[in-house]
Amino acid sequence: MNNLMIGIGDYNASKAKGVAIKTLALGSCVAVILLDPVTEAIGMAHIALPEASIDFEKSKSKPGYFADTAIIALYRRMGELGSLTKIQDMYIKIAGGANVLNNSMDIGNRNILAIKKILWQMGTGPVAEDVGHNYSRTVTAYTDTGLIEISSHSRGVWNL
Amino acid sequence: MKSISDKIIDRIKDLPPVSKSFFQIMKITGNPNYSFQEIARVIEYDPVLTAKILKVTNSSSLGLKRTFDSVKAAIPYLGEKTIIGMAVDSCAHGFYNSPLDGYLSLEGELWKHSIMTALIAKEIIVTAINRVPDPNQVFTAGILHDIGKMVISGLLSEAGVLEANGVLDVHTFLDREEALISINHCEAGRLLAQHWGLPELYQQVIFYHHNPQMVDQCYASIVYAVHLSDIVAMEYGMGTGVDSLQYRLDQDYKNFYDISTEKLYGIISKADDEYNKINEFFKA
Repeated sequence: MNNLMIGIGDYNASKAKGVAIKTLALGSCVAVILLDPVTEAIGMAHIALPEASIDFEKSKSKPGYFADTAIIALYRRMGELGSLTKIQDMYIKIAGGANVLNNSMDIGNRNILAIKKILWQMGTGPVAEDVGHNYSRTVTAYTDTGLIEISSHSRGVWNL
Repeated sequence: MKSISDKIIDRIKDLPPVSKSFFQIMKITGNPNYSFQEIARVIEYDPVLTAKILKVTNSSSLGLKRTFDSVKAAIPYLGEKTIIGMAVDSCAHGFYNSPLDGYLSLEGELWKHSIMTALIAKEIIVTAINRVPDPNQVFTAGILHDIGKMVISGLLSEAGVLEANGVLDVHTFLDREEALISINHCEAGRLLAQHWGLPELYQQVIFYHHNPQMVDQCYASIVYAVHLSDIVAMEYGMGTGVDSLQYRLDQDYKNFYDISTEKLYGIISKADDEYNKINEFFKA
């Protein structure tokens, strides 16, 4: 199995078999995963903050960092791999958006809301999500099976 | 049977070594009236440290358009916090980059967490409501705040920290540490800081960074900056393993810093830029 690592603010996709697309230790950040049922390509973005307006220059050099630019960039990356499927016909899953206890700034929840708002504006939404709470998540998407696996220290492993 | 304090002393003796220059730099920055030139002098009197910093500074991968033959000449180009970060990494590389088995934390994660906490803290103090703490003291305090984890990591591992998950009725990871080994990483860190002879300021930050409401007022602004930054770094995904997000945020940071969520977004984005820059130095 080849690992395709997605760092903070990165995004990428693959339709090759035997690839594990993986992002580590999501806290308040959110992984958005696009699955194309036609080409069986899978893409993942590791989104740190909700809006490109926070740092417009950074959004140009690192579009995967912000929710509004990341989803478009990831969808385009899927297109570069030959995907012609509309985003409304893709399966979308999201994971992450955690917070420590008693944090009123709630960046995780704001990230989730920003992502959902953008998806709704595009006429779609997540078919599955594992979000919130106060534990970090490592997310792995397997191109062989389309399975999305979540693991968390001391909480075990489960599928999304 | 050995007491917990005897066990801690044993662990401290077994920790990876740190160099004499590390203690000198900590002593200097712990003094509120220090000058950065004093730090440069310590570095220049340590030939190994000087060679390491100049090697990195003159590395072609950094793309600086000139070469440097002294640390003092490099300061305006690299910045004080980068020099401090490089010096601490060089003097205590083995200490900060060892895995923390008791936290299921991989090699290098304690260093990444410490640097990110330090960078966020340095950005947070810009929003200070009253007196602004010294940026280099805040940065150094951020680097030091979690040294206690190195001390108790092995004890936690031996006590079966993972097996205890879900069994212990605890609220935060500090409670879990205390329930398992009768000491938490803040107390263990202060014992190490005392053993090392670190300045009182850093001892206070290390001991109170998860309980900032208990600290003496004269240290409160720095302790709250590190407390909040530690939490933000964890939420950002740069924690130290199994304890990530397993703490509480003390809302009284608002008495010291005027931070809205929007301001925090900017702070995180800027700290991320700085982290990537510093990371380039360390890669070089």
